[in-house]
Amino acid sequence: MDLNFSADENAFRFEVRRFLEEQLNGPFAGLRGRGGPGDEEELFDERLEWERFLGASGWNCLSWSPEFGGRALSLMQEVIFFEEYARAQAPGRLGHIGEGLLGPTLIAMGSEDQRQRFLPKISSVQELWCQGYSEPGAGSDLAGVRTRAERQGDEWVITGQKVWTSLAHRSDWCFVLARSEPGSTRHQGLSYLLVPLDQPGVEIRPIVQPTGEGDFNEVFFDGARTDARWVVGEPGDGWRVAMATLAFERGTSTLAQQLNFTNEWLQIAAVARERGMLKHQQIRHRLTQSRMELLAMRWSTLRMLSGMLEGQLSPEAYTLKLYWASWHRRLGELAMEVLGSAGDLVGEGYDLSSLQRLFLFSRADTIYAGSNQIQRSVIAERALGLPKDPWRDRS
Amino acid sequence: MDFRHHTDVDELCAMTARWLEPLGGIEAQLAAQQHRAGYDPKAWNQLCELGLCSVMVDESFGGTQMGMEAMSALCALFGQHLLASPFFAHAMLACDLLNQSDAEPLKTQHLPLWTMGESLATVAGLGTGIWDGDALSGAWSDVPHGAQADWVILQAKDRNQNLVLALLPCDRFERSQQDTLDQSRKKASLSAQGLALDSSSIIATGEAANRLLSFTQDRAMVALAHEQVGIAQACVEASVEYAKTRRQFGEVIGKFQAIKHLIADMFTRLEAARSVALYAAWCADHQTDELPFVARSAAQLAGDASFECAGQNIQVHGGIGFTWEHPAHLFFKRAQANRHLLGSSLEHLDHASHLLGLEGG
Repeated sequence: MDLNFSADENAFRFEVRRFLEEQLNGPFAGLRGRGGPGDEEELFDERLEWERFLGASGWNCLSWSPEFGGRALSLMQEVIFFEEYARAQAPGRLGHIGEGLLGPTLIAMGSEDQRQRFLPKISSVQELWCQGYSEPGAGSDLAGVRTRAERQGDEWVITGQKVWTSLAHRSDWCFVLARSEPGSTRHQGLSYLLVPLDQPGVEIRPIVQPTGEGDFNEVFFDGARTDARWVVGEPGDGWRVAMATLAFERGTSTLAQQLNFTNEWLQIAAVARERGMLKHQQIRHRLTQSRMELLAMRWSTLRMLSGMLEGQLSPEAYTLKLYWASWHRRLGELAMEVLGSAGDLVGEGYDLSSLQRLFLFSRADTIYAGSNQIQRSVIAERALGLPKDPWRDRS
Repeated sequence: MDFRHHTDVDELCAMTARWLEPLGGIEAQLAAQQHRAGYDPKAWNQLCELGLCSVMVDESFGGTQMGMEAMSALCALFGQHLLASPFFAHAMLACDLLNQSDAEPLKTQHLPLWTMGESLATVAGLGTGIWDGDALSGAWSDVPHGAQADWVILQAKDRNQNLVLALLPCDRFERSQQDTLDQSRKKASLSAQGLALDSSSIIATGEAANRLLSFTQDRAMVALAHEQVGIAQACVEASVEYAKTRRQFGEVIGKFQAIKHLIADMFTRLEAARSVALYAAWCADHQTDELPFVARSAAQLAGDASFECAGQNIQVHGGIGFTWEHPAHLFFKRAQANRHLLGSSLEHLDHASHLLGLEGG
């Protein structure tokens, strides 16, 4: 057992830290701590400029080959970058869906044509991406997708509705799971299409969530078109490609997210102190328990990543989403407890404090990217080998 | 970064697992508990002959000095197999405390014998002991295996209320065995009145004693956390196995989400606890500044995971899990007993919140 980062990795960490400190104390000083889940609209243009600067300076898509704008760095180096990024409270990312989900999918399963066309524009942040999976009738049961794609000449024509599409209103492209074989059911006959959003056949409407803000959207396709070349994998094989993308969701940014969690925890502890709540043993204990579980999360993640380095997804990897989402929701509840009745008052125009937003937005954590209920079935089936839910697909 | 055990730890575990295999099983455990000591002395002798008591002891005293990584792996195995033995009290608590001390003559005299298991040592927490410089008087309870042990390291206070750690032969105390809810780890109460005790039996006093005790207790908590992880793992495995074979309503019960989701939660808690426990073992071996908080975290999360998994294992098994013949209650009782052995959940949280600087108003 060796739980240290190597000397090279530490040197890399300092390089990243120095770079971020210079930039975030210098030209981008106003962006510290801005944006992120639940608050995606904040200083959008400035954050986009920041990410383009990162791309131009070689600090995006670090694990990709230089051919596509990356630096061919190791998984651990990527992890370190994201950790330092969060530690520096650098702004919430906009290009992460392209960098973390579509990019790896194209690298693994895309055509050469697709890689050449799309990857450099992801790494330079010239194009932003969103994920077109969920539909009103296909949430946890994704194989219920009904959006249709029809081949007409050199184009695919798409008709249907996607929902819960993060950042769609800010994105240039969407990867869409659509039914391309009429009459097909479930995971058969689906295709994974890359669709430009700036066209007459696409309408995007924000969904107002309980925070009063809109991070998510509905996307309506009404005869939207995309080039026949932009189907990833074979037509009809979209389910397999879509599942591959989901596997990348267990990515390297998890540790960075945990540093944001630490910042939230510190903020709650500070409020508890200010409000004299630390005199209650129960509050001290809940804060302490929460901090201990955060430690568990970090070392579970590092265990998972070091297992991936040896080329395997160890069974405990399946537990992480359930663990962090449930944890984060409890943290939101603890935040309200220490805020007391001050937590019940909001600013003009339903202006929320960051802890109020945490309290409300964390209810989404246990729903998106596989709800807690789905996660439990996945853990039981894939990690423990228990029988499959009979109504779920074999994939 | 690499979570895999060193080869020598793997080899030690493989050897130990081979030895444990025929000892396992509910009949063997229940039989072991029939011994007055609460464990099978023959099995204990074999364990000593395998050299397992040597891992925390320096090579200069005949130990292998393999440290916490090996100790943790062994404790996890023993938890998994629910081995009844004085291993934890002797090889972890007593051996590590003496080995980490500066009491060279005592170390030279005892550690080589303890390493071989030729005499059995245990520890006694803070009772009412007072040492006036010549004589020791007081009473200590809950001493693990105190009725069987040859030597005891006990805590007392001197006339200035400073901590004293002393090593004494058990037969100089009045002893009586205490029967325990968890029958695999018997305890005893010890008492003494005016027992002659000179400085040659003192391991450490004052600040040095505080430091030694706190460091070795942190390490012991880590080892115990691994035993709890082993128990939790055995309970998850037993539940999975049962859910795959037990049929009700014409189906194996593992098909029902009420069962499979419950086991998924058990597994999630187990793996979170294991991650912290592994990191804690690393901190304990490398004596990092983080050890005090990490050790408490491991103790707390593994203690809860083990109790939760052992309790839910009974639930998954239903009626059969509530019989004396089924091992489920043995895991449940051991998990609970372990949650008191080195501090309760409340104490862990109090101590850790103090370390985090969360002081009451």
